[in-house]
Amino acid sequence: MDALLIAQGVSRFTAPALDYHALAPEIILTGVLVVVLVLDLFLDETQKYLLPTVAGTGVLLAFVPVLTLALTGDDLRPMFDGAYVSDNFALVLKGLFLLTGYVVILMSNRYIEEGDYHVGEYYFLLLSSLLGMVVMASSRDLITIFVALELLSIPAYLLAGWRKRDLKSNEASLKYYLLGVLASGVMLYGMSLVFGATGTTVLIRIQERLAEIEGGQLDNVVTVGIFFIIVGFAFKVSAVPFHFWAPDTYEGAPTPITAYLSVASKTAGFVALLQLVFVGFLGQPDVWRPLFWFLAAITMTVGNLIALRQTNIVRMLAYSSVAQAGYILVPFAVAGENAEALQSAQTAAIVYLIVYAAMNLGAFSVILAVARKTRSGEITSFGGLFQYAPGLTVVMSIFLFSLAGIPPVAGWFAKFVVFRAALDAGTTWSIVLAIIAGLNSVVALFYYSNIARQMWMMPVPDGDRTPIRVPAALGIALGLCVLVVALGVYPEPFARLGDLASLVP
Amino acid sequence: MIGLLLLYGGVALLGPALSRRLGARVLFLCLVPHIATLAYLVSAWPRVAGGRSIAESHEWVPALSLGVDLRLDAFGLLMAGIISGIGVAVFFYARWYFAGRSDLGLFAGVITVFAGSMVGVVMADNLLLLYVFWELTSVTSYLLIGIDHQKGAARAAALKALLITGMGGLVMLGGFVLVGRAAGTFSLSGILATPPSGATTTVGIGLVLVGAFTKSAQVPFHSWLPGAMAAPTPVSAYLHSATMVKAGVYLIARLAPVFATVVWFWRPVVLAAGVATMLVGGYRALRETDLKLLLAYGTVSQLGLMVVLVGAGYPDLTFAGAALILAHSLFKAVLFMVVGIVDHAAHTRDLRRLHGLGRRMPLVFAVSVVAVASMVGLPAALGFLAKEAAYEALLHSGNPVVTAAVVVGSALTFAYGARFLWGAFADKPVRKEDDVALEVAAPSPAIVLPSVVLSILTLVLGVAPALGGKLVTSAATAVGRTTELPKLVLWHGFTPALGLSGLAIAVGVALFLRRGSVDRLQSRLALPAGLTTPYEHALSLLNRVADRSTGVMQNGSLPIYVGVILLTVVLLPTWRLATDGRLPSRIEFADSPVQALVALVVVAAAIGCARARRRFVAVLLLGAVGFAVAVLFIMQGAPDLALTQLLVETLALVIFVLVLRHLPEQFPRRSSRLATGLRLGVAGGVGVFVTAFAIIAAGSRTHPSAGDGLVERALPDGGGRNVVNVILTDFRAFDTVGEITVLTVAALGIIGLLLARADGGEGEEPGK
Repeated sequence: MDALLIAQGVSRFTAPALDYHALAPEIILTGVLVVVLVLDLFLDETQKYLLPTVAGTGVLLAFVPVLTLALTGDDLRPMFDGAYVSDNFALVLKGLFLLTGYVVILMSNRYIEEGDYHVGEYYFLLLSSLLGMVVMASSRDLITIFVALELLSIPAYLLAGWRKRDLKSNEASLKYYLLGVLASGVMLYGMSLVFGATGTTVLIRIQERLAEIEGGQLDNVVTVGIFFIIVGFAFKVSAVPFHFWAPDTYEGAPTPITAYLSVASKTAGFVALLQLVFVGFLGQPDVWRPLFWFLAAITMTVGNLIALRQTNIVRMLAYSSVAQAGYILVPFAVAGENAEALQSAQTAAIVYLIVYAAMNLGAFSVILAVARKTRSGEITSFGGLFQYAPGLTVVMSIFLFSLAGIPPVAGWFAKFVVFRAALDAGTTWSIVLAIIAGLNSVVALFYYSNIARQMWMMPVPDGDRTPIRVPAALGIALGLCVLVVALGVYPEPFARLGDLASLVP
Repeated sequence: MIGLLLLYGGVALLGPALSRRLGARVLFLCLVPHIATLAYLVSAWPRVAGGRSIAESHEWVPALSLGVDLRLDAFGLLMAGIISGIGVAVFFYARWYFAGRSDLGLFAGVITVFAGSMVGVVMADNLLLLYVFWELTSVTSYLLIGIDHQKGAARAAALKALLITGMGGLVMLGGFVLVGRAAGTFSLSGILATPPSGATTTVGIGLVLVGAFTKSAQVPFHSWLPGAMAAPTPVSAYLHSATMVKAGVYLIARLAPVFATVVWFWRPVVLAAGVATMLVGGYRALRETDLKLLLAYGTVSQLGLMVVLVGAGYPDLTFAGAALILAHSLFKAVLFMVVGIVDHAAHTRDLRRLHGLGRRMPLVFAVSVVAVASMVGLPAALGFLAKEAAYEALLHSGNPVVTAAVVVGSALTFAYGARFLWGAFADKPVRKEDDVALEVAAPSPAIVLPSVVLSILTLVLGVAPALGGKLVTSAATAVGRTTELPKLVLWHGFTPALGLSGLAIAVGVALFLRRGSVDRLQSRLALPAGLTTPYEHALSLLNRVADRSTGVMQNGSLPIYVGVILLTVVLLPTWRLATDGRLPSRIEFADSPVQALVALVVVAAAIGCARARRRFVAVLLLGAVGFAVAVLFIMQGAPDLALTQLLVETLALVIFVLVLRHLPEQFPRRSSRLATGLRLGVAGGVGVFVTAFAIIAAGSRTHPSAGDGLVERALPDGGGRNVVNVILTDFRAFDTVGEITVLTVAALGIIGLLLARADGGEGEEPGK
């Protein structure tokens, strides 16, 4: 970048204008994570319980400017020559990330303390990763996106291996790290190619430069560059065949981190993809649409087929979340030529992300609560849950049916907007993809209902029917998720949020 | 109308909360919405009679143009009346069936949600809204089937019911979306008023039909319904005879008058499915020995008949169908309730073991006779009127094959109806080992009351056709959009229709009397045990595919994971490059012979590294590759890059050597030729791709090199002759400061760690 400026003869340095209101969520989050780190040094072991409280409050504090920004109007607030933007898209997703982070902190509350893990560092890393996601939502620049990605990934590599004395957790962390670095490398190479061809890293400029290329005939180098960038994020969203890390990592990581990876980290990957595809490479659908088509179809199918045969519930949810990523990729694969179809595709992706976050976090919260008693991750350990934990059973059933896309809870609405996006595009390919998605929904019904069957109808495996005590924080987390999923009965807010968060002008 | 739906929802929430206090009486609370619905329907009757309708609309998801659009016409009123009326009877019955149990809260809540959803299905005027209610009935029925059973078979049956109807629901949603798009609206009445046509509609309607067939247990999706008999009897009486299974019939009836002509395959498919279902159900009902299963197959058969009648789309057949829907709801609910009473009293439902109950329970026997009379179409019962109307209409506008099939179906119906009565109540010789000492207590009057009321209703409506006739006529008018309809008449005179009735009854009597031969014939024709239903086939196929792909995709080996990723990364762009292979005009392979020589060293070292058996050798050769690359950098005139490369290589080598101490000296033996070949293939592919891409990339420079600009401005802007230095200290001074800071912080951290270690302090894992 600087090299180019110099080549163009710009030599005077002017400080960029900073919009502190727009940056307030990031600034508050940074402040809080520093506070957590420092506080950890000065707190006695018996007072460490304060750390999650501070972290959670901080995340909620960071949520306040998101709200005030949303209320002050739909100002774009671009900074750094358009590299960092705080528009409605950014605000909606920042809100989503912050709330997800808050729920994960609630889920972690007891788990981390009872496991005798390093409490202070845990929340510090979690907040750092969260900061990366919040930055990601505003990044409209290749370098900022990359920095955000690394900021959210590196703490996550560490957190995945947080159960240090567990070999599985070590394996989880190492696999995640190695494959993650490989994907980052591929992506960075792609970015360098795109930069080489366009001479800029700002997405909106890339869009302009690519449009200027004579005859619309893209150079192969750019094509490969776009491919590589998408592949890098396909890893992040665990799309097949870049999903290999996901099940092993999910199983080995502490459960709250698994929830975090499968929801927040995946959402961050999709947010980056949305920005890249709908801003940077908007004019080149012929390059990315086939790739997304392939990824979506194979991701749904493989994810669902393998999920069918899992006996461990966390692994099953891992593959189910692979499959869910496939559904979210569908709108990318069918993003149409005209503005209306583009809008429909983008809304579908965002609505699905919001709903997916709530239902998946909810399912993991229930797993956490049940595992506190059963100390097992096997699906059979859910047998007869209804007999001693009817509340949890009902709640879990709601999440499962939501994941399966059965009305009236939120999941069906999310699925519906995805189908609608595919049909709005109206091409043969998009309809074929919609049919593949439909068939996959049927397959998914099998394994989701299998858990429901365990909970409602099977006998309790060890006959132990002592009721489950759900810690207060976990209860709040569950309550939040149920609230969102139950909102699916009246899904208008989701639709509004999805429409609001539009990148397409 | 929305008030009614909300009332169902509210009571469903309230029920579980109050169940501890109320016990089984909580079911009385659940009667409230049914009674409210009935009252509303009575008050709405004058406004919908004669084919008019009431509509109301509430906003729900404007973004999707999805509203709570409700519409009540006479057909909807008939259905809603059945749902709430039979609901009153069954809930009242269930209160005594479950007497003494205090854990009914969930049951009460779920079955109330179910009832509300059914009312929603028949009142919805928006296809998507209809779908929502439709799926709600699937889910709630799943919970209801499994709610009270610990048996493995029951659980499998519940799952099967959910999967088949759930799958059908999703397929139907696809159909709704296609039809809605073709029509430009999701309003049911709008679509029926101006039906779309074309390929999209045809496919869409096909999908909708699949959904309707699964719900109404039509062949080949019928197998879930007998399985669902694992449910408690009140659930079977309510869901599996009177209400849920009729949802598909309802939908077919709604669509048939319009789409039977628009969609070319409608009549063949619907009639074929209906006829097949009717015959298969009747045939199987003759074989079953469990009374409840007998009734279940009977229901399958009757559902087939209904689909034949309402599915043809002719007004007079629709009229007969509407009459049959009403009659069937009344008599089948009674029969299921009777089975529950018998089961409670005798603790068995096996008709080979039951005997002599007719004398011990005369009242129960009497209501059963009335219900069966209605089922088989004997005069004075409502079923007779429906059957007569059906024959009349079939002779008038039906196809002779279908008519003949209906006669055969009715004969079967008579045979299994008689078999039911005989099996449950007759005095008959029973094999010694099967004999249970039937200490049958007379059932309490309360539990028999609902069936008595429904039987009386059957008789009254059968004797005085004018009472129900108006409702049925209005319903058929509302569906068929025509006013020229026959009437329900008690006595047509000696018409061909009466002849067909008589023929069917005569054949039925013969079938019943020769039941011994029929049994033998059936057991000879019985399907071999290995032949399973399509459902099980699909399930096992899916499991096999899933097993296979799980084995391939999830093997835990990092090399394979990386291999797959590399292959994908390489193959996808290669395909792109190959389809558009623009090569640069001039390719420079080497600047000087020395460069080529060094490159050869790199290649040789890399190959040697891959072939090395000992780890130490491999590491050294890997280092050699790195150092040779550094030499290439120097020759290219990039000493700083070369320096960095050298440092990194040295560091990596040192770390490797440190780690090697803990590893075996040799690599493990290569597994197989195939694995080696695969690795070679992947590595070769990556190599070819990178080479090809390097050549293409080199040839596609469009902008001038940024280096030229830097060299040009180094002296005037930076005041230095060493361009690299100027870049580091001037052009990107901020980056340099950042790098130095990071290095300093890292160094401080390392010092801290070393000091902590030296103190012998808190090492993380003292074990090592």
